[in-house]
Amino acid sequence: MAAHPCSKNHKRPCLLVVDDDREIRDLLSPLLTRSGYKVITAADERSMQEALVSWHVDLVILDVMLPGTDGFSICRNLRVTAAHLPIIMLTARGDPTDRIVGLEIGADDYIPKPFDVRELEARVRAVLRRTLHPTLGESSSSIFHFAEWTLDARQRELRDPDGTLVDLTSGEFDLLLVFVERAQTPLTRDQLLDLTGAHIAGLYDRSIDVKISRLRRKMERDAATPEFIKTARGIGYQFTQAVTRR
Amino acid sequence: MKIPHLRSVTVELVLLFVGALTIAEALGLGWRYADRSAALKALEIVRIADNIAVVVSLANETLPGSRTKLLDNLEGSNLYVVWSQEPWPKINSTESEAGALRRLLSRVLTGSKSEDIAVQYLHNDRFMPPGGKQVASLWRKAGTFPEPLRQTIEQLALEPSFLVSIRLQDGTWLNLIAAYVSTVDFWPLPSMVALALITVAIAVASIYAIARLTAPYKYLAAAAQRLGTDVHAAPLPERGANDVVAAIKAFNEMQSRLERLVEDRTQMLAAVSHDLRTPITRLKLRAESISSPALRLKFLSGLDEMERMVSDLLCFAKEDAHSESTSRVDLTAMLLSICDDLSDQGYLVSCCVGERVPFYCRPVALRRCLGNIIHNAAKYGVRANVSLHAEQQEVRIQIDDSGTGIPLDMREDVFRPFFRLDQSRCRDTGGAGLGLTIARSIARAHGGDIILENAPSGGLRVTILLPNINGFSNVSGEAGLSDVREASAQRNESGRESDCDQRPKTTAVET
Repeated sequence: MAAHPCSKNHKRPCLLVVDDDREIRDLLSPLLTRSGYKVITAADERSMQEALVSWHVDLVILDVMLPGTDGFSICRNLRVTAAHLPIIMLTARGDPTDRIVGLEIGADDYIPKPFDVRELEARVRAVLRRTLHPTLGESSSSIFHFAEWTLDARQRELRDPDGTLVDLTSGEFDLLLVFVERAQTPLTRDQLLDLTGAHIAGLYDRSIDVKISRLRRKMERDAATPEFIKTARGIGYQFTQAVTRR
Repeated sequence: MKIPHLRSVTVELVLLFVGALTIAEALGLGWRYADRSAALKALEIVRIADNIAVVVSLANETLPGSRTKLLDNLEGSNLYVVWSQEPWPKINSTESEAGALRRLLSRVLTGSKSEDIAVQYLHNDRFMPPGGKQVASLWRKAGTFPEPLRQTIEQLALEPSFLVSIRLQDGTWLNLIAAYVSTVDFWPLPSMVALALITVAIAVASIYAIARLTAPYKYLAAAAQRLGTDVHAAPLPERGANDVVAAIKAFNEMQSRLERLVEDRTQMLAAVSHDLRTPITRLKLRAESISSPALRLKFLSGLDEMERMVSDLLCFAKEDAHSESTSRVDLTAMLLSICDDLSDQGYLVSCCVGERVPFYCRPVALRRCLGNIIHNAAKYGVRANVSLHAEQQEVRIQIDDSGTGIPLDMREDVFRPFFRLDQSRCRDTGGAGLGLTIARSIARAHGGDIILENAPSGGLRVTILLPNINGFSNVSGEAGLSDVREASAQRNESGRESDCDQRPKTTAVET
């Protein structure tokens, strides 16, 4: 088992991968390490508990299908013993009800197998951002409100003032989330690429413009005079609505 | 009440019953007529014989001087009597009626010998073709009558009648003409009414009985039809006559066996696709370590394809569309997301949508349905043009492509699971062959349907019809030309492309 020790006074976030599939553990570990995380792994609940005692873990990536105690029960137990420990669940079940159960029992996010390592990284980053930065994480709620719109970061849902779901691609959603978390702050294209993790995917400034025009198309009444994401001349873009978290 | 089809068992059996009944009634009526008329005729002959016997005995007891006067008084409407010295000439007559009257007369006229009685039977068939002339000449031979009487006799002879000559005791002859009136009405009204009522009653009763008898057929046919689309349908209630119950039982058993079979297959399909996800995940992670970016991309896109197939299989096996809860979704945004994702993958997709269209649906399922259709159009039809038309009653999503289309006779086949339109073309493009199957079952689960037709521009037009159950909550005063949001999703070398044919106005979508 390729365990990477996490010191108690770490700089890099430490991830604990709990999966009974040895190959997946061994593959994930270097990939996540390369992305700037310290990674330790566990095959079942017992070794997970040992790892949690020995190391300061910032986030748990938890497979649902485990021998012995299954992922859902582990997640529920973890919520009791470590209420604020972020958990991302991995599962091979594609059932939407599984996803809802997972989120209801306290997982912070849910990724169906087979997943992309980039997608996993993006979700890890998003969850860590919400929980690690005290300025953004004062309240544990992941539901944002602005101008009667609702953005649920966990369910990854955007609803308009009537409660109608507005479908966003995952790129659009990540971008909107970045804006909503930094309302009123002008952001450069570079910052936006960084914050959405798009740099890793090898995207360019122009892709931000495209995503913003798509977001405006879906959200704005009139794309020519945007009410939500305004162009900050010479800088980039700015989300102009007041955002509350509940 | 529904009018049964002409070829239906009910119609055939009712026609058979009523036909047989009518024939039987006609035969009965004929037999009854023959029987009655024979009886009446026999009775009439007896009456004529009695009348003649009375006349003869009176004539015998009357003095010749007062005979003519007596006989005049005895004549009635059906009997004429002429007293003369000679009998009437004999006309060949061997009818059984003549024999019968003769036998009766010889029995009642005890004093007369058999040669004293001559009976002839005249009826129209033999005598009337020349218009009663033979009878008239007969009368002339027999004696002289006043002209009015002769005419009356001629008139009388239009009816069948007996000519009887009887020798009186004094050797003179009494000649009588007795009209033989015995008509039986062949169409007696009360009988006809009764028979008609019986026929109608039996027809009604047989329609009812046959309808009861054939109801299980319709019932089973409907159940078999339903079984074709839904193997999990509730079993049929086992009621009715014994043999009907036996048939229903057999049908129910067949259905439950089919259900088990389908369930086993589904379970296996789900298990296999489920188990494939872990190896695919491993391969995906492993592919990250491939140093050549081109090779890595090929690996990943192959794995994506596998993933899609696996999720198609799972979706097909589990019919996800039924397990998801409904919510209100903006169809415009959903179509834009699907088109944008596809054009980001390098497909040629244009999306012509207008204002926001809130629609109650199962979002994950509907997204899969629309995604499958649009992906197919972009993949096989060169380019996909998507448009959305929202009306009060229904939403119509139209996807035109520029491909070769689908031959008319294959348009139903393409919805069959694992069906491939063109084996050679699809071999390298993959897919489990479930995309359209799943799309249609989702559309139908939403109460809609998918229609394939020729696009005006050539290629295929796929129309997804979805009934708008809850009606549109008209989103503020947004309707207007300025709000036509256009997605010109495609970015290629030639730059941004606008494909919205019917757009009234292009809204610049730029920063």
